[in-house]
Amino acid sequence: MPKAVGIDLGTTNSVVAVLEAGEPVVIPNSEGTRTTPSVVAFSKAGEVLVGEVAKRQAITNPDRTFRSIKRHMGENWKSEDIDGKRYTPQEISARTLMKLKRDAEAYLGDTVTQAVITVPAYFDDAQRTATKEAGQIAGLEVLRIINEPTAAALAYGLDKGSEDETVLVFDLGGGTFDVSVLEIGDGVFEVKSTHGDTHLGGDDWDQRIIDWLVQQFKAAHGVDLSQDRMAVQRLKEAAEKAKIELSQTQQTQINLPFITATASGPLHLDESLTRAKFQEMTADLIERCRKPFEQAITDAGLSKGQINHVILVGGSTRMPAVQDLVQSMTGKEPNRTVNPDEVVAVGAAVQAGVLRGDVKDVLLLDVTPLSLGIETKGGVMTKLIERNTTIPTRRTEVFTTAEDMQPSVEIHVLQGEREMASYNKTLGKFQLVDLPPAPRGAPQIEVTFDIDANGIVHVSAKDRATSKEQSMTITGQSSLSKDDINKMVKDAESHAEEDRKRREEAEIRNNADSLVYQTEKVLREQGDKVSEEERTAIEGPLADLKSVLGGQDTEAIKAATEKLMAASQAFSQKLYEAAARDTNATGTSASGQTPGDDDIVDAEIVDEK
Amino acid sequence: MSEHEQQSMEEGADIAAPEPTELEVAQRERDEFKDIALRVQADFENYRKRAAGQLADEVDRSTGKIVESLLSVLDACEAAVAHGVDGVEPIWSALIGTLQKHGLEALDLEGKEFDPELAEAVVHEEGDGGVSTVVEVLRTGYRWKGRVLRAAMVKVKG
Repeated sequence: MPKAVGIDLGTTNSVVAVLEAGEPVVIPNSEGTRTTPSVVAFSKAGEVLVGEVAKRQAITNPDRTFRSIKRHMGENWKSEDIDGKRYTPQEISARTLMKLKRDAEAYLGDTVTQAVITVPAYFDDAQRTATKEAGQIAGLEVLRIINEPTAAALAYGLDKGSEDETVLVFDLGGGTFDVSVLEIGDGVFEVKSTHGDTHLGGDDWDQRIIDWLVQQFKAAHGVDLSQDRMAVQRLKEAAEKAKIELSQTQQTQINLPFITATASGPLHLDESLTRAKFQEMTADLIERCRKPFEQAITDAGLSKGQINHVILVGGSTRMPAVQDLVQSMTGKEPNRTVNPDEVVAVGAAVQAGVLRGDVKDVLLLDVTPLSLGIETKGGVMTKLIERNTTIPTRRTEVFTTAEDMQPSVEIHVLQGEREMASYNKTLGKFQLVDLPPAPRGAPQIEVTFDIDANGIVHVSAKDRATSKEQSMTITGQSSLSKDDINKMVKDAESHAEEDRKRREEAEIRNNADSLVYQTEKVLREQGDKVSEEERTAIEGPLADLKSVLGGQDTEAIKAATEKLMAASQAFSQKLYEAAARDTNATGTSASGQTPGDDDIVDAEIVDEK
Repeated sequence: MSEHEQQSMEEGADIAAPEPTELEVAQRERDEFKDIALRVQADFENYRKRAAGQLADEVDRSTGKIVESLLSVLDACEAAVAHGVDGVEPIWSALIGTLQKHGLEALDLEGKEFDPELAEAVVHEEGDGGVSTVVEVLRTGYRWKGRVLRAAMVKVKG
């Protein structure tokens, strides 16, 4: 089924995203990166190159390489003659869109026919029309052209508020800066004001670091690195890396060995840059952000206290100095949970989904707020469905009995996060009766939990031997309020350690109990094959364990279990030896046919009791 | 009779835009839901296929990230050897040898036609109008598991 995508057609970089199962996903390009440079080149061989590849050949082919074509959108501009054709900005932009479309199709394994494309809020009619044309040339039906700040607000779901809200979008990209104030009410977006600086962006911050490095190096070695193309290239990479690191740390090391060579030998660049120093040398750039910012707020007729939400867009807003500026000027903690490089494309994808009708309420799948399970031996809650599982869902597990000849099992349905059954909420109980007489561990009882899309839980238990089945339906589980659910989850977290201990105790007891059971069985069935002395060696520890099992001392149970285990192993050894003697006597090889194999009970999945 | 006919025609006109019956509503809803189910199923199928393919890709990509951060060390070794610094060569070849075993490949571009898929032109010299050629590799480029990890920096003529 053809898809509709959202495209942020940027001045320096472009991003494409799609809504998948209601969730926006940014699509990596064929090179594996999530942003694609908006650079288009027509090679001498007549090939069209887009993105990183076009950038790499730019200096060999400057007349036929186009960067920042967005700045010409809507103008009467035309390229120089390229192989007999002069290109319009929309024709060149279309090349970028074609690559995004192609890469999205490769990623999705499906055709992409429709798109929502974003433009700056200040774009006029001609610029918007040109953008739409670019889409059409690229073979896309443009569902809508939307404003970049609007898309950012959509990405944060700010259209869903019940009251009218004011949103400030601060967008500092690679080469452009925009501040917009939006008013949102009833899902309608109105741009109240927009200001900016079309030639201010992250690249300016990088350049400051490059200039500083050149200066430092010149002072130390008397060599001007800015004359060396190769050195400049390395400085550029290092500067960007340093800038990014300084958003995380207070200091960074810039180390470029063999940056250049003089007659006396190679020279290395090794500088450390602190965040404070970096902020000092870029303070004027921050100041340049301030003015459009103030203007946008004034033009919208607002004071800073009237802004409800602040959204950061563009990679440069990761810089702490920028965030501080925004916070001090709005008095608000900015939203930054969505990647600022991708937030516009994400919003466009959301809009595309809405326009296509993909975003329907019925598609919004719910999750189970709390885990569901049943009580098993020792008062433990065994979870069948973990919390936050998307519904509808179904899960089956096989359980068994705890006692010989157990005639029935009780299914105690629980909801909650605690390890022990008694601390969780009982949703219901029912019995599966008339089990045929069998030793413990033998019956296979299938327990199935089925939750439908409305959250109704259907629990059934079936004995595989007789196909007898019993079930119940629980509808009340959604009656828990959000607060109750949070309380139950928190409760489980705060009692996690204590619960773990209790569960461990229950497990120790269960293990001891099965060991007693197995040992008694072996003694009963195989006891005559060993000497009286060997029997006594195991009967002692067995009696000890049975006596401590009656008490509450878990450590004692653990110790006695270990003793009996050791004795039991020695005992089995004797049995094997005895069996081996028999086998040798009859001359058959002992090819894995170990006597006593039948006695090993499969790991018991515990029972209902 | 004509009067009668007229009346029935009027009735017919009324019936032409009737309230949809319960069955029709149900059928329309059924079609809508069937459509949704199909879409979700298709989305999921595609997702599953893609996820399987991407998992392998993701592994290569994440190991590639580590290798990429080591390229500056390879660059330093290469430059040191070029400058005749003693004792670096064995370390360099040990490091690159290990990485090669796992899928690193140095690009050999000198004298070949310039290909922006593999190299970035940082210096350009006008040529005689023929094909653009790499006349000097300024920084070695690498492939990791068949994908370009870092394009070379080259001087191009033509």
